[in-house]
Amino acid sequence: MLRLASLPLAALALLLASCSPRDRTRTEDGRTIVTLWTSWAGTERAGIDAVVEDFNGSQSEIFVRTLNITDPQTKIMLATAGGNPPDIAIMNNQFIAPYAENNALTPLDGLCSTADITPERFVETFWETATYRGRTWAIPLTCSVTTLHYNKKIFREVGYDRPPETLEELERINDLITQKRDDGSISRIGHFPLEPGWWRPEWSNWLGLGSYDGQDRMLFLDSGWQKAAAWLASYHQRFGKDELIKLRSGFGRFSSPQNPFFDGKVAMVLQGIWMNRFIETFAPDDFEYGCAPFPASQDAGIPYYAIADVDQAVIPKGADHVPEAFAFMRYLIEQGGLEKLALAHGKLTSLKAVSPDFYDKHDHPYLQVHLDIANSGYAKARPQLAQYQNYFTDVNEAANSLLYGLVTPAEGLAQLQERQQKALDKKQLRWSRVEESYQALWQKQIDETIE
Amino acid sequence: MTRTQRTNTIKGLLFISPWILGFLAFALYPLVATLYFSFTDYSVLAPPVPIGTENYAELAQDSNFMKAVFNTVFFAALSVPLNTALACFLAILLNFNVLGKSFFRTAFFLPSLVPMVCLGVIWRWLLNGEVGLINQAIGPFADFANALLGTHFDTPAWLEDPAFTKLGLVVASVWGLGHAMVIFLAGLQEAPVELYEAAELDGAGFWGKLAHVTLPMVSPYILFNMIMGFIAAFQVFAVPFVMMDGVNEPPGGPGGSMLFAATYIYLKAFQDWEMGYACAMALIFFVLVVTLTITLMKLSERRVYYAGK
Repeated sequence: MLRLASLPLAALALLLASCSPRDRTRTEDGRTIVTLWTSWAGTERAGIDAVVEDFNGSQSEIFVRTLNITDPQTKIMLATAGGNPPDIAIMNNQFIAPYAENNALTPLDGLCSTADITPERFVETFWETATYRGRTWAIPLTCSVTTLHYNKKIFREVGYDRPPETLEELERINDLITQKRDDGSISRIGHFPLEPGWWRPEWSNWLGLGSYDGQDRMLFLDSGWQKAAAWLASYHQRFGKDELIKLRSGFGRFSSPQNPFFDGKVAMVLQGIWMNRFIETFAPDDFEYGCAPFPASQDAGIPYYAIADVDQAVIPKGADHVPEAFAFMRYLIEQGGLEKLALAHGKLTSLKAVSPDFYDKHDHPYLQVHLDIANSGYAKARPQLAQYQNYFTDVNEAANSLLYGLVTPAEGLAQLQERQQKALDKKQLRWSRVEESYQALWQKQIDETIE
Repeated sequence: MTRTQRTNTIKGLLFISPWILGFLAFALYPLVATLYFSFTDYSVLAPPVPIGTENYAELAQDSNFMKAVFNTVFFAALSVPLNTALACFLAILLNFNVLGKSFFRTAFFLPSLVPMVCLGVIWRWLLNGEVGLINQAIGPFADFANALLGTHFDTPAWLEDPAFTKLGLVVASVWGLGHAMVIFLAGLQEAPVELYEAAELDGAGFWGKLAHVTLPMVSPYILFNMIMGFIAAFQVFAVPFVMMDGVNEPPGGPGGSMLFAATYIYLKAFQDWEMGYACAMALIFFVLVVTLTITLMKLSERRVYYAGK
């Protein structure tokens, strides 16, 4: 009887023993281990590995250990909720607001001020993405801005030797480039807003106004989205819904030679600075492309618009080694270290200062175009919304439906406004309930780090 | 209670204690926690804030929730009867004593062993509008029909056209009928030979025997497969999620046509961090599945024949 009873107990003991924490905080030579979670893989992982190796080599106190994760937003959230987060996590700028508003990050204002890390050192557009609700939550690392990538050969075919200067001109070129087969199906299109479609919720910015006023109102019924919806709907009106669906169903995967931009099915795409890497790897040898600012509508009051994307380093709430983690982050944004990382990623750095060496070593043929756009004031990050993922999924789907004519612009925008305003109101209500306590808590944390 | 009875009870409880512990930890506790969280505003990262029935009130007006319910019911209503009928039909065919019977049984069962994610990836390619094998196979028929009738049938863009996405998924779900087929096979082998002999003596042919002997004998298996099928269909997640991921679409697919209950619960819980709202949805679907199961059981009382009764 006793022997029988001891079996489950032994199993339980074994289970508990295997779950008990080992000493994972120090290396054998006594250095504090700082864990870093990132979704960077391949050459991007190699870039951070090289910087980490330099740092570890220069250190007798800290040892940074990098771990690759997929779906970082969810994993970091679950690890933080479970009380076992990494010391540093790399995340995209659009997730700073949801994490900060859920009290899942460590405010860095105190640490930054003691380390003399000031906003003046950074490109304003990139630095802004690291702040939310009046606090600093992240250190911006490698960055990019979107530009128009166009196929020069196809442009020459239709008599153009320069990129379009307005969205209206882009659409005229689009009509010239688009070709149909005898059966009416499209064999080539000039521009297609769903390819690659990574920034679908932001199209209204090119027509004058974004989706969020930054305070308490979503703007889907305002002029920007009214024009954007009409512009998106013009695609099924001009080219046909079934023809567009059929065309898109034949697009290959992004990182493959069948990418529709590489194989000439789409002549113009909105893309980031990393695209050059993929062009070098997957496009045909004789592929000729150009980069230019993606032009805005002539009525928008701006010459062009670009979306700034930033990889951020954050310290999740509950991290074990905050000072050590920040020491590594401080090293990361020294000009040499950050430029080394940016070169490996084929991107820009968040710093204002650019060394001559960076220009020499960066292999992007249109680096200056990207740098100019980043500093122009026309590059903006995606909206800081606590419900960002909800916004992204919902507007993505609405943009598809508008483009294919599955809903009318009036109907689609009214529904979108109702859903998104409700989602925003819900978050605002939640924030109003917790604001006072969170602000007090954050101030206390900041004061502690200054002391 | 005598001493022996008490000892036996304790022994019995000890033997089933792993199950009891498992049930308490992995079934009862999550269910009770789901019920509690459904009445809170809970982001997982911050402590839950009780908000009464707000989540349920919001659900009643959530057009995406209604879309997810419609899509799930639509998929279940199409795929479950189709798969059950096909599995039964295949089992009847594979119950004949023909050469290579074991090979065919294995061959038809094998696809159901493919993991869900692989299935999603495979079907993403099979259903590709331009180069997919499905369209390559039906293309010539469409061309033939067009030439003959002067029509303009075209092969569908299965993953991009909202009118076809769910149908594509139903086609893909046929791959999973192996399990149901094996259960039907077991049922068919239990049908007594003397019943067939008696039916033959009464002059019944193949169809007569099928309608009056085979189907009544496998009716409990039909009921079981239907119930399991509906439960699985209400939980459909991995295959459509992976299929949509590959075509650079929102997880709900074009026009929200692939937004299923489990997908929406996942999105709300782990992407929007609205765990309370997701819990409310999960509970509603739990009640739906329980109601459906009970309804099926009640409806089938007169139609299902149990040999043991």
